[in-house]
This record gives sequence, structure tokens and C-alpha cells, in this order.
Amino acid sequence: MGRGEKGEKGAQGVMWPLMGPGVRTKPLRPPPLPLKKKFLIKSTRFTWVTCFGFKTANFAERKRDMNILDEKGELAVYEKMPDQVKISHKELERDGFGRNPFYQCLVAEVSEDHKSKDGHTKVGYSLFFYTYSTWKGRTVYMEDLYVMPEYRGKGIGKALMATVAKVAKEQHCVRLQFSVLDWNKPSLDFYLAKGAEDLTAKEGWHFLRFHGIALDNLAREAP
Amino acid sequence: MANFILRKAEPKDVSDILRLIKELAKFEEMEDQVILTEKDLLEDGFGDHPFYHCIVAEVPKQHQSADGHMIIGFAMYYFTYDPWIGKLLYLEDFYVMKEFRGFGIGSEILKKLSQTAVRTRCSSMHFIVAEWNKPSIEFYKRRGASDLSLEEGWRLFKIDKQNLLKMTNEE
Repeated sequence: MGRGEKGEKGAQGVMWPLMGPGVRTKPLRPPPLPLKKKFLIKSTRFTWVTCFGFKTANFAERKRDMNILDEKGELAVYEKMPDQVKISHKELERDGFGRNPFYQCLVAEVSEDHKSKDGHTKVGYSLFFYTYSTWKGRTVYMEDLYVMPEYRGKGIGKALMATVAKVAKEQHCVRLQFSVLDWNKPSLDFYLAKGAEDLTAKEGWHFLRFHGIALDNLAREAP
Repeated sequence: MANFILRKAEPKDVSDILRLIKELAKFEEMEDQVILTEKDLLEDGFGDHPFYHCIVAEVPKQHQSADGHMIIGFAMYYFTYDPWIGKLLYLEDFYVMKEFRGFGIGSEILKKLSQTAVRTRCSSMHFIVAEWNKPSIEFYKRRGASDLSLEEGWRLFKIDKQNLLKMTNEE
């Protein structure tokens, strides 16, 4: 377990992040479904959004992916905290597409003829980043996973997560972590079915934070 | 005894860092779970793209520990991202050797971390604590930390390598 299994090249010389320039798409294998839904699945593409640098990610791609922020608005509403979205498109762009990206993002995209009622072709996304466990090493933390309600039940969420898992595997990460609100039964069921373990229940871990004024006060106490 | 310095960890510190990681894991009764090696720490912390940052607490030779160590505390952190509020500082490990507690070293480390967070425009500093670890929870709450698991209902999940591989094969 851990990075670099026996027989593999190992992590030597592997640069992080491991993405090349431009955008790669991967067509999905359409699952067997009734004719109406099959058509929709066939058109679903996954765009591997690279967070490499201003020179290699062209402006059109960055602009196009800015409606991730609109989707975040939707996710915030689902989690019942819409007034908590404080960052702008500008910050999202700077933090994801600069020289030193703070996150990676995958989007699920449908073709123009399957766009949503309000005209979107990007219908789901996952935002994640790398973290580190002092016990096990490289880990992926999935911060957001979201599919618009009208596109659920078609395997998009599952495929997004499988792609995150694939990236984790390529980067020799040993674990994927994320957090879920305790009332969010549909999500809890989704993750538990995939072999996820609730560490809060199992090992008693609680999330704490120093936020805003509390953080400022702590910093101010320094001599 | 209050003579110590806090500094950024250097490659030469990895063996001390691993020693302290194992001591902390022992305290959490999970010592056998540490599979990380010095080589991993070196590559992952001091390569081209570090996965973590680390500060160490060092005492002068005349105040070294009973078993001859000068690095007697550490904190490991990295930057994460909240799509609602932006950059965050995530505190992964934070430990001071037992014989050096009660001298304000832990407090100083925490202050230094919060300064780093403010300087790098982070909105928040996040971390996890085991619910049975009452001394640590009190330490943090006294300084203004809030428990998001209690207040908002967040639960931490993991999917281990075996199940990750299963998911990639299903794709």
C-alpha cells in the first residue's frame, strides 16, 4: 500500500500536477437504458479541465468553466447555505487556473441539444485537491460533487467520482476523503454504497475551524 | 525553560518529523497505521510541488530531550479550497513532546500558523480532532475554534485504495 507499488515505475520523476496542456475529453460508454435516456447519456462528455497555467489553458476554456460558480450557487442552495458563497468568478479563476492551482475541477457536459431548461450544457462538476496524511501520504480531498437535479439518476455523479478516483490512482494517492452533512441521506447512501466509511461515526473525528475574527484574534496574539 | 525557536522545516529534519508523527500516532493509539517513510516525506515536502508545509520547534542543545533530541514539536499544514469562501489553511498534524508541554510552545505554533493563514489571505484554518480528545478540544475552543461537526452536522468520510480501484474499474 502507499505510493509506488512494487513493479511500477513509482513516483520518481512524476511531476505534479500531472496534467498536460489543453483539454482532454473522454466519451462515456453508454449503459443499457430505455431509448429516451440512452440518447442523453451517449452525448455526455467529461472534460478534464487542466489547471496548468495561463499560457496553456486558453481563455475560452476558463470563461466557459466559470459557470461552475453558478452551479456552486445551486450546491449551496441544496446544502441550505446560499448566503455563504462569498467568492467571485475572478477568485475562482485566479485560484484554479493560475501558476499554483489550489484546486482541480472536472465538469460533466452534455451536447447543445440536451442542454438544461435554463440553457446550460455543463450539468455537473467535481472540485478536489491534494492533501497529505502523515500516516499514509498523498490523499485526494473531494470538496464538491454536484449534478443538476434534472440530470440525476443517469450515472453522471458515479462517473464524475470514478474519474476523481482515476486521477487519485494516477497520482499515487492512497485515499479519497470528503465530508457530508448528516441530514443528507441521498448522498450518504450514494457514498456508503461505494465503500465509503464514516470516520466521524467510526473513529469520532470532528471538523473544527478558526474562522474570520477568531483567526484574526489568534494571529494578533503573536508577540 | 522557555528557550525555543520556531522555523520552517528543512530536508534534514525529515527523520525528526517522522519520529514525532509516530509519537503522535502512538498517543492516538494508531502507531501501526503510519506507513509513511522518510523518503516519502522528503519527496512530498521538498520536491518541486510540495504536498505539505511544516514548521518545527527546536530547543538549544543544553535543553534537548531525555533521549537527545532538539526538534521537540512540529506542525504540518497545507492549503485547501472552499468554493464558497476561497483559500483555507488546513492543519494536518500538531504535536509537542510531552516533556516540553506547558511552556507555551503549542500556543506559539498555533499563533504562527494563524499568522501564515492571514498573510496568505486564507479565510479560515481547518483541522480535525477526535471527539474523545477533550484536552485538545478545550485547547482549541478556548482560542475561539468552532466544532463544525456539532454546529452544522459535517461528517468526515474516506474511501480507501481498494474501493477507489474498484470505482475506476467500473467506469
